[in-house]
Amino acid sequence: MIKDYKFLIIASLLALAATILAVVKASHSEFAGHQREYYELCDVTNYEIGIQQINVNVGGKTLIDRCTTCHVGFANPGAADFEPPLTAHGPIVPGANEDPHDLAKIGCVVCHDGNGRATSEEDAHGHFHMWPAPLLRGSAVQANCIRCHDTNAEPLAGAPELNLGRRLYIEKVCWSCHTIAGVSTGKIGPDLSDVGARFGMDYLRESIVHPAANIASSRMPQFEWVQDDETVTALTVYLKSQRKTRLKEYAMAPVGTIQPKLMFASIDSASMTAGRKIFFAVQDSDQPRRGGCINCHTVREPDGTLRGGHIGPELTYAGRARDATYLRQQIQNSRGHEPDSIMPAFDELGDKEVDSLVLYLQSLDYVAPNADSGNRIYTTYCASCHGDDLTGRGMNYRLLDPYPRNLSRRQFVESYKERFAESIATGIKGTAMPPWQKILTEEQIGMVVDYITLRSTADDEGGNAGAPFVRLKTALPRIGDIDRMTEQPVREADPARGETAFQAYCTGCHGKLANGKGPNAFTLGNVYPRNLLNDRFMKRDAMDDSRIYRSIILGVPGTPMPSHSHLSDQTLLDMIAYIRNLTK
Amino acid sequence: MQDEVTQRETEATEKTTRREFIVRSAGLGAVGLTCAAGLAGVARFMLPTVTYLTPKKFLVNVADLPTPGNELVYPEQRVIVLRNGEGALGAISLICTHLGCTVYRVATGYQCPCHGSQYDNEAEVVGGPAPVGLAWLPIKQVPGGQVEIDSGGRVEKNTFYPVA
Amino acid sequence: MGTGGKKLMERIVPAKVRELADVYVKTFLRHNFDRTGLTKSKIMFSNFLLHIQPVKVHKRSLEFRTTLGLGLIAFYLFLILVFSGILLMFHYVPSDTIGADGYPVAYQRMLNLRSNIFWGSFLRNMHRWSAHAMVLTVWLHMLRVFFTGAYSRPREFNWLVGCVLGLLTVFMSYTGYLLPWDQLAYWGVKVGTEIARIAPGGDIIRQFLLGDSDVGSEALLRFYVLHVALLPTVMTLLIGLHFWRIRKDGGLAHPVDLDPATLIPTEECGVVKNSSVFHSTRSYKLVEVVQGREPKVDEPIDKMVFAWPKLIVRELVLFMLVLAAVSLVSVWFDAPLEGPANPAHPENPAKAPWYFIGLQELTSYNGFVGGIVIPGLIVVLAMLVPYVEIAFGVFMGKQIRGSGVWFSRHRWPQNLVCIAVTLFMAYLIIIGALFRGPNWDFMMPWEVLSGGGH
Repeated sequence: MIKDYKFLIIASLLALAATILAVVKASHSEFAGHQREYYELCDVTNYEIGIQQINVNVGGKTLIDRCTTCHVGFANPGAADFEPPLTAHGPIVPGANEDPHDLAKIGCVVCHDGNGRATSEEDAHGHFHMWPAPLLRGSAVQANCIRCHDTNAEPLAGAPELNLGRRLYIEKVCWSCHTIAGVSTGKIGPDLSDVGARFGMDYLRESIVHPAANIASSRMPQFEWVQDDETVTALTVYLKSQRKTRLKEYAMAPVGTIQPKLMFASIDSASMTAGRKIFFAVQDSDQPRRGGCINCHTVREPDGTLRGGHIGPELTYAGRARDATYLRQQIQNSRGHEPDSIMPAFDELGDKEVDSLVLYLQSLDYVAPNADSGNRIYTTYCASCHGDDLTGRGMNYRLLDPYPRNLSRRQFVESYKERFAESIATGIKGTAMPPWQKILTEEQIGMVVDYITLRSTADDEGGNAGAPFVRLKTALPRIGDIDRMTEQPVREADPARGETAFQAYCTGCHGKLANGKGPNAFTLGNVYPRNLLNDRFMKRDAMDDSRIYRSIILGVPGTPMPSHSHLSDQTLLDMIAYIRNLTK
Repeated sequence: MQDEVTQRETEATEKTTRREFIVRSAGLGAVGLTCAAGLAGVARFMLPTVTYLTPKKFLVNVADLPTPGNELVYPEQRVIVLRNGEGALGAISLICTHLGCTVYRVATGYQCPCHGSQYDNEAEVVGGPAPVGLAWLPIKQVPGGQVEIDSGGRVEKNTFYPVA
Repeated sequence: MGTGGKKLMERIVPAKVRELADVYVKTFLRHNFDRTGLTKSKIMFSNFLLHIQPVKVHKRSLEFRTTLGLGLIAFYLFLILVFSGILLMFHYVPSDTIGADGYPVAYQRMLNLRSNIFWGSFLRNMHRWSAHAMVLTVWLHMLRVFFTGAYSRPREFNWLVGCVLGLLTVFMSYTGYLLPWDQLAYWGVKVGTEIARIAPGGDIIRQFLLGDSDVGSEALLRFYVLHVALLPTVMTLLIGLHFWRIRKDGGLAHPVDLDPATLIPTEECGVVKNSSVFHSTRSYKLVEVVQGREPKVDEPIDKMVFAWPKLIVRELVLFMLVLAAVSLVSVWFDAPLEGPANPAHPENPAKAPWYFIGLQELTSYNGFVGGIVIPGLIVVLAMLVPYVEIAFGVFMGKQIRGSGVWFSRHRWPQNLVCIAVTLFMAYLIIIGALFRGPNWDFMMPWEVLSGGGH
């Protein structure tokens, strides 16, 4: 029995030790040391150690701020020389004589984020897993000005990075793809109205510089102008400032907030000069101007200098190549002409603005000097998309869909060169290839075609130059003809059978939906499978049944599209019927 | 058989030695100590460490204090701050000692609107049901050119603190 | 109190005072502390807290290997949970209203526990770890009961009560899991309730549980009420029933030892007629009239010992050990707390709490079979085992023996099935908890994820 009591003593002492340990651990606090040090530095002997708390009154709710538990000297100008965390906080508005912000009332969390309730450094600065609002330092703090000031509507003195970011958002046309409540209504990219509340600075910065870093399927261009630190920081701060809940609006209406809509500079009448301003996003008043085509498109000024970004095609000749209606439609809804275009629909622009842009484009009259040889004509007009080396990788190729044709393959050029002249003259509907007949003479077009033929043959070092292509019987069979493979008479084409065959033979590259995005599509280099849903392209006069038939049965030489001569004529006809049905 | 059992138990009863007693007491004592320590921790768990209301102790910038000879009411904290002729600082709680109403300043001193308690200029009771005078508050100079007034304390009447 | 202490008292304290003190003490302690059998009996049955236990217990019941103390440990953890839980309630608000700092109120309370409240972390850790430990202990306790054959007649009903208690323990832990309202809680509960949806009628159960179409403020409130009011009450009542039935069913199961030489001759106490439905032939009423003698029949006399103090002290030792262990763990290991619940930002992988992870793993293969059929079968089979055995006895005319013995060879089929099921469940939980990464892909526990996110 006495043994049991001895066990009891041991067990109880163990429990007692654990309890005391718990008390000791809970009694230890980081802040006590800081407070003691602070008061000693201030020569104060009569002090109490304790948690300091600022209850920030935010329109009926209370924001808890315990940061001053460690940052004891934050409001004491005499503590300016103390080491952190005891040091004093300087004035919030730099250079202002009298700071309207009362630090003792607004505390730290309002501007700096972090975890205001915490009483240990790691916890308070948000350095733990998945904390949604880690501490903001330096210029990043400007992102939180929006909690009380409406920085979306107007620039705020003392927040230079934020103001720059706001300006860039407008000037660099971010607004055409993204929505920010009260600022823009772009629908192509994600809504940015609450990004600041959901993501940290690092994430935002990364997403701006490398759009695909966090969202692999992102179609946002990797802009060249965001590579310098100042620009990225400014944009990051601006995005970080976008949050739906703000302190000022806590006594707000039950259903969301109605924010003042951002006012844009407007024009009175359509004119070429106004168009130029819009195109270049030139700002001549306080209000930002909608526009900024120059961020994606290049143009050659009359004096020959090339300006602009390399995301869309060059527009120097657009005003001459296309008519005004086409240009207007293209600005307001580019997918009407090119179903796979990534160009945003600028339907927010008013008629006057669109007209001005058209006028501006039509005013561009640069004429290449000495356009008298195929080489020069090609370099001037074609190379920006098709590339100096004919590979279809000019400086503006990357975001065009479909890609510019790779003209460096001899097999392709040999097979199709008789079509080139017409394609150049009339353009190719459903793609970015414009008609050149109003700019180039027939003779000049002939020179370009000759140049391409010569160049592709000369460049191709494959040993089979001159080897003849095996030509099968390529005339489109008619109903009643004897099938090449089955030796049965060909019957009426059936789209249902055609679909079955398509799903069996074509989907690897063209995709189940026939949109050219099958699982193998992106391994095929820069000639991507044709999007068979592109009705502008598929309904061209040139795209007759016999051309589809030849493309399937012979393949497209110089591209990954192989020959399908093993399929019977009946199957091919069914397939053509199916493909035709897709764009009915 | 019955006797045998009784015998066995009687022996056991008598065998309570001093050592056994000590061990047993120590065991139960240790259990008690553990409970006591635990309850002490729980008591601290229940004690508030911060306030979500208006804090009892509040800071005032020396620059914002009334000029010598003047006084200033802080309505949120229910405190009046007085500055005497030499510039020394005193503070009086405006909470009536009777049932806690807020008294207001009158020429002769302080007057409670609820039950008519009256105080003179030194906060001493001169009429009404109030049992004692209004509380004079402790004031402490803190670094950063501020003073801390403890509206929950009470010091001798006419306690003025020099302000640097 | 020992004789030494008594003598000292007599010397210091006047007689009248001692007499008065004695009367006062007797108002709540109606017995002495001498060592006669009667006193030892009285201590047990006149004390409200102790009287649920028998006056005398079989020696075997005191040995650690009989029960491994598991049932008692589970009960102690329950006590610790109730105690720490009530304390935590003082600092908790079941609300997902977004506060001024952008965090839900319930989550803000977690931050308070961690920052400004003395022992806030400690008590939360204690509550969290005890809850996990209780689920584990209850499981082990059930295994102990199974492997010692203690579930079989006459204890079949108590086994059923125990099974219900086991389910309640898990449910209790699960309802508490949501309350911190962090990402872990939100997505753990979300995944768990999605499993319920697979069952026929599961959507209705889910609506009862969540009070809404999804996990939200209503669910938080319901889980809170279930966790702090309804379930603890039901569990307390059932625990009472469970303990009471242990006594009524004849104490802990032990091997039949009916050697007549060791029994009290019945003629010494008269004929005890067992007219009750219970199988034990102990006659409790005799305690009141028999002096200096064990009120026992039908039990081997020299194998029974008084519960006071032997059993009680050992129980106290165990309690102190459990308390010490839980406290030490809570001092060193912090309960997890992730970012605040964000319905728009799922965790990947979103894992249910560990005791449901086996289910989640199963449902990843097949929703209906894994989520409903297999667990349902296991629970129903486990509950019905003793009844099946009884039916077997009636139809085959043969009682299954081996009750009260660890891994009795008479029960090898049952034990084999039980071991297999247990290993299967443990395997699923280990795979689900440690070897599942984002998208529920198989991965090694030491593989480090490179996170995107914030």
